[in-house]
Amino acid sequence: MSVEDEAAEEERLLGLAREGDRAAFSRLAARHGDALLRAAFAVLGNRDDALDATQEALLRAYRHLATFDGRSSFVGWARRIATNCALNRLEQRKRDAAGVLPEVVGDPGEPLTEGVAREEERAIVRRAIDELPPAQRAAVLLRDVEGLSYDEIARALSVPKGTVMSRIYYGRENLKEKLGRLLGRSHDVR
Amino acid sequence: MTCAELRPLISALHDGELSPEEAALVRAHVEGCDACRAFQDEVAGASELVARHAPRLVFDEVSLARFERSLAREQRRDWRGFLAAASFVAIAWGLSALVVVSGPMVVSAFTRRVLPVLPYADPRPIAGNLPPCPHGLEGVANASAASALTAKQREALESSGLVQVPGNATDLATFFGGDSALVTADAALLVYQGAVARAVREAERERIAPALRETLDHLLRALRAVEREASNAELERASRLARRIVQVAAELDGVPAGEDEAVAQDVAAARRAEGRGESAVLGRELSWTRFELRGTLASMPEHFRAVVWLGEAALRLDREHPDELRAAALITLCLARERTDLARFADLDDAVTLIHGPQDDLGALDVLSALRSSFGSAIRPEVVGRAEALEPIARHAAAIAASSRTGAIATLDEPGVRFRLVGNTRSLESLVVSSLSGDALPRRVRPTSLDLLAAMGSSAARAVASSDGTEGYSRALDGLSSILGEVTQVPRAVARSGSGIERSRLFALASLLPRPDAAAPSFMATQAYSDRLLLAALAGLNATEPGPDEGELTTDPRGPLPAIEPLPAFYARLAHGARRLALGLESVSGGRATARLRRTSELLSGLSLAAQETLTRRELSEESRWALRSFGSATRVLAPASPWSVETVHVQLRRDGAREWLDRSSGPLDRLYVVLPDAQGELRLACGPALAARETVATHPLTPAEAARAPRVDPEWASHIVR
Repeated sequence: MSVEDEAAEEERLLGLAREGDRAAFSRLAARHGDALLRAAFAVLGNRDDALDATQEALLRAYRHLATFDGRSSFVGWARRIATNCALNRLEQRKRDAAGVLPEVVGDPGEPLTEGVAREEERAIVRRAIDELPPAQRAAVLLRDVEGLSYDEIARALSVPKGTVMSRIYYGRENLKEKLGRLLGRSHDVR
Repeated sequence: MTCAELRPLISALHDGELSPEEAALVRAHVEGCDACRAFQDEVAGASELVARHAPRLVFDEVSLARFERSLAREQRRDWRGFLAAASFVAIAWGLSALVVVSGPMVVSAFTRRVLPVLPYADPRPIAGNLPPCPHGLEGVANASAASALTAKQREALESSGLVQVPGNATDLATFFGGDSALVTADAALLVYQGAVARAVREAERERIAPALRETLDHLLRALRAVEREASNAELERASRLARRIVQVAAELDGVPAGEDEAVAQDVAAARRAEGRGESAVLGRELSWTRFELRGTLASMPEHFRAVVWLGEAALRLDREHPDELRAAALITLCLARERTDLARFADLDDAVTLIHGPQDDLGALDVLSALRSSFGSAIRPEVVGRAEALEPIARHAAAIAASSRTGAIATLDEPGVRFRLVGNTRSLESLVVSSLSGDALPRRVRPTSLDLLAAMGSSAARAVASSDGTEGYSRALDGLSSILGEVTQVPRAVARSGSGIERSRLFALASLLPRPDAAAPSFMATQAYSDRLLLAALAGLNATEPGPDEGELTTDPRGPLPAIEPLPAFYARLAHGARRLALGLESVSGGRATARLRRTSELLSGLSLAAQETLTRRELSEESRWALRSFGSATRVLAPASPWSVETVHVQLRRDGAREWLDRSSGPLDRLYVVLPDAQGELRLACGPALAARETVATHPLTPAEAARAPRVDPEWASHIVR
């Protein structure tokens, strides 16, 4: 399918879905589910929660399809709903988590041997991502994994563009600390 | 601008988000500044690492099927309407359920329901001034309660404030109602387990059993069609095997499914449940005694037998067994043909996983993944019949098994990757125990549950159990699996498994392992007490049979208040577990049993408070009194019908390759005597029910009746039990 065909197909599906055709909406969900799921994951950092948030977002999108004006892309609009759902869940989780601090296991400061196995590298990176504050994680993942522009991220997270820039910057500063051994060096800011 | 001020702009430059003027300014600075250049490299490095390693979740066909299902529910349309919608998406046989997934598939979206994460913090009682453990029973009110003790038992009680005496009660309720009643950790555990077992039974009856029956019915029809239209001999053989496996399950489940001699033979053997013998359908020997009714599902014989059969009917996913590999692929394809069926199965699989834990082998959703990886989204049954289809399916299945499942466990039993529709799930504990053998335990002849508890005694293991239900769980799990991996060669996937129920139980048991704090009565700091808790935990790990579903929890407003074994964290964790299970099972069952679980949770919370108040010698609060006064009723309404239980763990001894079964059993109930101060500071002697675990190694799994006859062997380290 060419880009034009894709766009036409999307329009067609949107048109049908607006008229209440669930199968058409389901096709849209199949097309954009990955993007929504990853946006929700960017906020939540947890697959299971992200999936729940995505399901919820898709249902909301279906319910409120009439309010989608078509000025932005459908996926951009739906992604914003997904991040909103994810942010709500995050809030809920924060309220819930005011309890135990589990024992932290393992010593992250242990020096790594020369050739770090890829598996191990992945584990370190994932843990570093996991440990980022949610606001920073969301911005960094939407940028580095989803390849969204700062404007798109700003829309998805409902924050000003300047905030996106600083969240990404602080997120990277944080990552730099945690990935120091993988990045090979560290420097102090003068 | 200072370096610090420029750094956010360097990060934005990397993303191509600066205006040409800004970019020029930043570039000029970076060129002349070593530190900022290094920073720029690091930004690029970090960004690349994140892009390379961040999980890329996929909204796969199972997720989509689920979404469609909730959309249909949301619309409150009838089922036929939804089917029509689903068939709109359908393109052709085998294509319909498979959505083309774009981009690299690094991590599949989750397919398993998990228990909700709830706030939890261990209660921390403030240190009170508890009197020292008495030597002798002087000054102890109702010391006459000790009159039934022998001299030796009395001596033990006087010296440590605690003694467990072998008893023969089978009814928890007989302990409550008198003046010197004691709510023990064991009794609380039994009440909890009884409530859980009833909830499980209800979920099985209301949701799992009907969903399985529908799934089997649908599969049977679809597989018959494939068999009829088989285009070559390979496909014909494989589809016959697949159809027969499903047909045996359907027949056992009470659905007459037509004539077939092999099927009839196996159905009859399963109903007889005797000895070992060849299965006509599978062409290999089976232990038919496994079909003997036992456990939570004993009251649902048809469903029980169907599940056991599906657990036994594992199919080997390798090229050496082409018929089995193809049969597994066909079952999966038939299951995924319609999204509605796939969604129903995914729900079933979720419920089974939540309740019984993930199965050891690959399930249909895994094989679906392997098929998709092998052939993309367009798969017809004919493809599976081709010779060249075997290699990619086997390879992808092996990769999935290696990455996500308990491959090493499969190797321990029989080498290779296998497929099961449902069934054969094992508890985390049995997985650990069955993995421990021979070389892994140099000083032990054979592994026992003690090894699991020893593993839990490690701080990493405790961290896992302690963080279940919190956000640190996955991190703690990584720590545990590396340690378990080192000391016991248990693969990481083993540690990852375990059902919601299993996890909740371990979460509670973990609170028994640390030493009690300084404010606890001094008997709690003795070795005898640690032994007693380990033993209780061991016995508590046994499966229990739920009693009948009748009676309401009542409170006796006038009866004497029982004393309580002061373990606030233990009761609180059981309460937490019961609440999470109630929430988790709500999506699966809903009715009476989850309401009962909630009630149990409230009761256990009340006990936790009562235990705290006991430790700090505060006046008992209203909530504590309610819980203590309701406990006697709870033992009648919630606790299992009998404390007798047997759990069998399959052990393979490496010495001679022999197979043996490790049977753990408990019951009848012992009596536990403790001396405890009450709120007025008066010392009281209290007596409550205690569990005792026994372990027997047998050449076949024991039935409860056999276990009851087995000689009672108390572990040597149970120093608090005095005969």
